[in-house]
Amino acid sequence: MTSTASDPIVSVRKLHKSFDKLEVLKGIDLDVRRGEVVVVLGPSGSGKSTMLRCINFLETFQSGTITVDGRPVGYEAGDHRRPLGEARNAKVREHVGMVFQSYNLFPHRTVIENVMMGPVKVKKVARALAREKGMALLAKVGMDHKADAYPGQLSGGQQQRVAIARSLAMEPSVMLFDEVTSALDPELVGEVLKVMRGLAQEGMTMIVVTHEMGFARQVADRVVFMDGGVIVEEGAPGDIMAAPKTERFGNFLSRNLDQ
Amino acid sequence: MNEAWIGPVVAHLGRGLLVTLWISLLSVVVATVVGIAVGSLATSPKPALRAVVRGYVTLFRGIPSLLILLCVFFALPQIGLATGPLTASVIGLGLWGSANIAEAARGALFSISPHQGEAARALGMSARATLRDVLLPQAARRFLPPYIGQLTVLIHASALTSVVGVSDILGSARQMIERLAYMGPDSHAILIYGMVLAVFFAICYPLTLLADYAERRLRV
Ligand SMILES: Nc1ncnc2c1ncn2[C@@H]1O[C@H](COP(=O)(O)OP(=O)(O)OP(=O)(O)O)[C@@H](O)[C@H]1O
Ligand SMILES: [Mg+2]
Repeated sequence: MTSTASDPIVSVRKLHKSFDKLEVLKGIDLDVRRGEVVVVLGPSGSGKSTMLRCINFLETFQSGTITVDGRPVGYEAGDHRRPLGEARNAKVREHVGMVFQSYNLFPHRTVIENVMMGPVKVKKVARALAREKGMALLAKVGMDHKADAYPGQLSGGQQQRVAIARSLAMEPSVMLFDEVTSALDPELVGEVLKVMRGLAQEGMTMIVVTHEMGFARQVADRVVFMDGGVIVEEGAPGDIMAAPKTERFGNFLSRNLDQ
Repeated sequence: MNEAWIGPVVAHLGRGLLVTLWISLLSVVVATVVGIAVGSLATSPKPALRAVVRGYVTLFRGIPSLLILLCVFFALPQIGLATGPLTASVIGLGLWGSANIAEAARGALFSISPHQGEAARALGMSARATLRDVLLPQAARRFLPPYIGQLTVLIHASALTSVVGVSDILGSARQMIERLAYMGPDSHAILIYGMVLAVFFAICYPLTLLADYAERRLRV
């Protein structure tokens, strides 16, 4: 499969998602190109997390299609919409890294074992090689000095940086970040954002849900504003954050101005 | 002072001890198998099944073990199942113990955040690998301390089986004391019960230490 810089890594089409009777995503269209950093803004309950979780199929969805690297997510491509099955879902997830608000490191494993888990258990990489690559990733997020510590011995910011390294170890095509700094003490937010900034500069494709307006302004190639399960507005941060086209986005920005 | 009584008493207690160990082992096996099975059912998505599990656990935990023993011993023959005192004891103790073990298993499984499974799946791990490498190791750690604690409780409860006629170590002790009291001036009750006490302590104290150790290891 040949690809060019303009190929979308993630492509979401007419995505509809309901929890029972509650329709949470009401037709989302989103393309993310290779190397692009898309920041998703929106009020609580607008469906940001749900959209991310659909992209690696942690949530099922009722209609629409998603592809990652050209591979269908969740359901066969075409008209039949047969579920892909757990094995093929797992295969797609190998290419999608996800970092959660609550870190979710494996508490019974050391830091380096957390980072090695994916390569060793999923890609069957030899342990020695996985360890070597894992240490390099830990160095990159500034956590190699804690390789043999357990997650419970680390601060939130440290845990989150390890969680980023754990995802990167799978060499994903795209990284999803769901409010990864929201659970952190204010003084720890910076160290995590710095790692994310570094990834963006290296050309990692990223979809970032955050309330950090500064990060959106400075790092995003494109900002997407969601409200009520639809994308209300999108564009370059310099344009739409300076001059929102819709009242809803304008109000959202002024409510979150202090950041 | 005549010490001739000691030999036969110790021999008889020894036979009783074997019975105690045998009953304990069998009821631990029954309680563990039934308990883990029932406790795991509590994670079922079917509400009806979860309600049955809840009922089972609440029922058996709410009844004194002695009462369950007596019920099994006297009730099973009524419905045409003739059982000896040993079988009845194993069934009774096993059911009673399984409720506590089910509760420990349920608690261990539920104490693992669903986010753990999500994080594993997000890495591309299969459902099996997620269970084997992420969920079960964590659940086992939380299960072990209360489980070991339950084992000592079950071994203690095995002393009740003498009530339905099992010649366990306590039953054997009482037989010897009654015989000595009939034959001579001194039943040596204090000494003999002291021996029984020492035996139970010697079996259960290491288990208590093990439970404490497991508990401490849990806090990594
Ligand atoms: N598992 C679920 N079951 C039922 N409803 C859900 C579930 N997950 C989310 N919802 C509902 O879907 C809606 C969108 O939730 P979502 O978490 O995607 O919002 P969000 O934009 O990420 O909000 P926040 O900024 O608070 O994280 C909310 O109304 C939420 O209550
Ligand atoms: Mg959210």
